[in-house]
Parts: sequence; C-alpha cells; structure tokens
Amino acid sequence: MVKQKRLLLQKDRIARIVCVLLFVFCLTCLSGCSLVSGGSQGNEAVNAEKETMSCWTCSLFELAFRVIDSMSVNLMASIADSSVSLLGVCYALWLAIYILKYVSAMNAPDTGAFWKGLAVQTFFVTLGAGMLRDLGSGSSSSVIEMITDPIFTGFVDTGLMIINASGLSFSCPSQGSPEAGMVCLISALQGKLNVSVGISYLSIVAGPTIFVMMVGAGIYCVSIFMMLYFPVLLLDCVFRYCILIALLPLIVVAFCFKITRGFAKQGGQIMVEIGLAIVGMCVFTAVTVEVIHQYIDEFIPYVRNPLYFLDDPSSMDKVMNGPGITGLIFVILFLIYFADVILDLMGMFSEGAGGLGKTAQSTYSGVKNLSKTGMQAARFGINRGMRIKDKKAIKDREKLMKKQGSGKELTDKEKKKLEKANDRLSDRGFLATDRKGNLHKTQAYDNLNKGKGLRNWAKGIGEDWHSNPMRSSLDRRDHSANKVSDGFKGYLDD
Amino acid sequence: MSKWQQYIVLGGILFIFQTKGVRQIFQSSSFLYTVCGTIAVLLVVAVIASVCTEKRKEKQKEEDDMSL
Repeated sequence: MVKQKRLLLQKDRIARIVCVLLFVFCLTCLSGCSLVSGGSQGNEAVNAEKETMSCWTCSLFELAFRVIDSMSVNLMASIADSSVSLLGVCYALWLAIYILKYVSAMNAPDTGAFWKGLAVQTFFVTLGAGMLRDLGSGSSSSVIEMITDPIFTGFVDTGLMIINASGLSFSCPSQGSPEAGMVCLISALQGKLNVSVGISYLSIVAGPTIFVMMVGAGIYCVSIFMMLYFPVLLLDCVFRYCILIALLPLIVVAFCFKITRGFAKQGGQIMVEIGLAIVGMCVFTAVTVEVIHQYIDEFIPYVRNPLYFLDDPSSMDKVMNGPGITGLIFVILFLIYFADVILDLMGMFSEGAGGLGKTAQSTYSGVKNLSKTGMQAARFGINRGMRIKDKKAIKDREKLMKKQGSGKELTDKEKKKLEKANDRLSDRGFLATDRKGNLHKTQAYDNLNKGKGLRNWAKGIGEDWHSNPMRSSLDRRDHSANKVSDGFKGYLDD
Repeated sequence: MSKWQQYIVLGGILFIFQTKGVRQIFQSSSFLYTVCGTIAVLLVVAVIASVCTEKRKEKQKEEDDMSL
C-alpha cells in the first residue's frame, strides 16, 4: 500500500495528474460549464444548444491573426530601416574586397570585367535599397504587397479551390483574403462539432447514469480540443509566415549578394513549405468536416436533435452506450492525430517544390480514401458485432421455444431471456408481428440461421462489409420485401 | 530545417535586429552618411586603380613593341 502511494507520488505522475487537472479546468472555463441551479434541466439544455450555435473559435482566430499580422508589419518596417544601413555596410565590404582582389592580381587584370562585375553588383544593391525604402514606408507597390502577400493568398485560395472542386457538402469561396477563407473553414468545423458538443453537454447536465455523464464528458473534451487544435495549427502556419514577413528586409539584403543568396533561397523554401502546409491544413480541415458530417449522418443521425432525449432518458442511455458515440470519439482522436502527420507530409513535399496543385490534390484524395476505408472498416466491425448478437438471440430463442414446446415451463429468468431475444429480433427485422401480437419468422431469419459453412461465412463477411447497420435493419423491417417464411397469410403490424 | 529550428534561428535574428544598440547604430543618419562616404571613397579608389592598371598595361605594351 505504502509502495503504491509512493509510486503515485512519483514526480512524473504528479506532473501528469496536474496536466490532466489543468486541461479539465481549461475546458470548464472555456465552456462556461455551470451546475444546474434554478430553472429546469430542459432550460439548461436549451441554453447550451443556443450557446453552441455561435462560432467562438472564429473570433479567437481572427483576433490572433490580426495581432500576429500587425506585429509582423510593425517589425518589418522597423527592420527595413536598419537594413538600408546594413545593405550599405555589406556593399562597402564587398567593394573593398573586390578592389583589393583587382589590385593584387598577379596577372594583368581585365578592366572591362572589373567594371562589369561592379555595375551588376551596384544594380542589385540599388534595387535592394529601393525595395527596402518601400518596405519601410509601407508603400502599396512594395515587395510584400506585390509578391509575398499574393503568393500566400494564392496558397490559401488553392486549398479552397480544391475543396470547392471536390463537391463536399459545404463550400468556402475564395474571397481574396486568407483570413476570411480560414475563418470559413473553422466556422464549418465548429458547425459540425457543435452537434457532438450539444449532445455531450446534455449528457453531462441531464445524464441518467454516471456512465452516460462520463461518456458525455469524454466527447465534450475531444470536441473542444479539436475545435481549438485545428485553428491553432492554421495559426502556426500564419505565425511562421509572419516571422518570414518580418525578416523580409534581411532576405532582400541577402538576395543582393552572391555569397548570401543561399539565405534568400532558404527564405523562399520556407515560404513554399508554409504555403503547402496551409494548403494541406485547409484541405484536411475540410476533409475532417466532411468525415464528421458523414459519420453523424450514417451512425448517429438522431443526435442532431439532442433535446428529444430530455423526454426519454432511456433512449439517451442507449445512444450514449452504443457503438456510434464510442466510434465518434475514436474518429475525432484519429483526425486530431492525423493533423500533425499532414503538416509533416506537406513539409516533405516542399523539399522539391514542384507540381504544387497535383501534390495537394493527391494528398487530399489519399486522405479522403483513407477516411472512407476507415469508416467502412468501422461499419464492418459494427455489422459483425450485430450479427454475432443476432445469431445468439436466434439460438437462445430456438432453445427456449423448443423447451416451451416440449411442455416444460420456463423459469422467470428464461422468460426474460426469451422476451429480450424476441425484442431484439423484432427490432432488427428478423421477426414480424401480426395484428394479434404473434411473432413470425422472416426470410432474413432463415438466412441468418442457415447454419455454418465456409460459403455462408464468406457471404456474411461480404454483406457486413458493404451494408450499413441502420439501413439494413430498416430494409429488413419492410416485410413486402423480407416476407414471412412460416406461411402466415394475414396482415402484419407496422 | 524543422519548424522549431526555424522559430529559433529566425526569431534569434529578429531579436538581434530589435535590440536597442543595433537599432541605434543602424538607424542613425550619421552612420548611413559614413557608410555612403566610405562607398564613395572606395569607388574613387576603384576608378584610380583601373586607370593605373590601364596606364601600366599601355606602358608594358610600348616596352614590348620597343624590344621587338
């Protein structure tokens, strides 16, 4: 016991516990989470839903973007003034060395080549001085206005164009401003995540069991984390771009001399790297929005109206304990993890900065296909789980019905088991109910109970891979297609 | 260069250029005039050096012609 306590109080564990507590505290502060005091749970939930309607990360992002932007412009103007003198010093040093080389040449020096080299260098220095004067005064014809800003905006617009061209469920038109494009993406992301925030908030406030509350808190945490993480990743790119802008005067100085031109080239490479990262992040944010949208539509469409669960706590319990919600947590965590990989991936692409659009497009398609396969795999897992449970229900039912048929009386436990199996099989469309409440086997029931064998197993795998768990249940409940197999001719209850 | 290396290197350069001493030196007009004056002197030196070189070349050519 003492040893366990000592283990718990180890330095790294304490740090971890403090981090978790700090994280929960931050999330609580951000959410404005409060205990239900005065007013009903319903009012609290309605308020929560209203709160989730606005995009609070957008204003944070806009604020951070403007602060970073204005800071970089001020820094750049200040450095541009210093850089003119630096350019002069560098030119004077270059000239001194150049003349010394000319004077101290062992062979008869070529005067024409000397003056040509001097004229070329003087031209570069004059050009650089002009650019620096423009940068310092903030002229609209400066390098930043004419070259760097359009390039950066172009990268963001490329990302948005790929998104718009791929026919996703939302669009962010390129408005000529990188800030507006990014805010549009963040707004779309928060719009989708608000659905999970709504249901999780409601689970925390009005959850019928502690487990529901805990699952709700889990979804709440990952949703808020994702809402903050993606804007932070976009801001990271903007931040690096702004550092580059602040250093632009020094890059101009470096460009003027042959020996330091590598530094300017490095600046250009960083610019391409940041641009590709922005394209990757924009596209990935859009893919994330689409994946969450599709997941909610396919697996948990009922969470779009969370207020419905207030009147039906048992439904809420069922939904929160179901595979859909757990899958949502995994999907969100996977997307958060993959966002970092995207930045690394785009960094690798920028090493050879060719085929820009093609690279971004192929990345987008790769991510989309990967997400699609991931979703299909999740669907397959759910279908397999459902099939096993269905088979078990059929087996239990057959066994108990046989016992009942032989004249033996069922125990209370067995009766409950039979009732549960019948309920499941009716819900899943394997049994049909007539107007008198009698249950009848369907074709789907017979197909599922066909027995073992490699062929049946392979057929089941194929069906599970391609079918949708919710849609296949609904299809089976349509008894005009899935007919009763025990020869019953009367009317069935809808 | 990794992201953190970029932050450190570029941020370091920015920091150096924002220090008071560097700004005072580089942004003062007297320093700029001194630099411009130095450049002008160096250009004059370049002109004189090239003229001297040309004269030396001509003299050398004349001497070569005489010896022939």
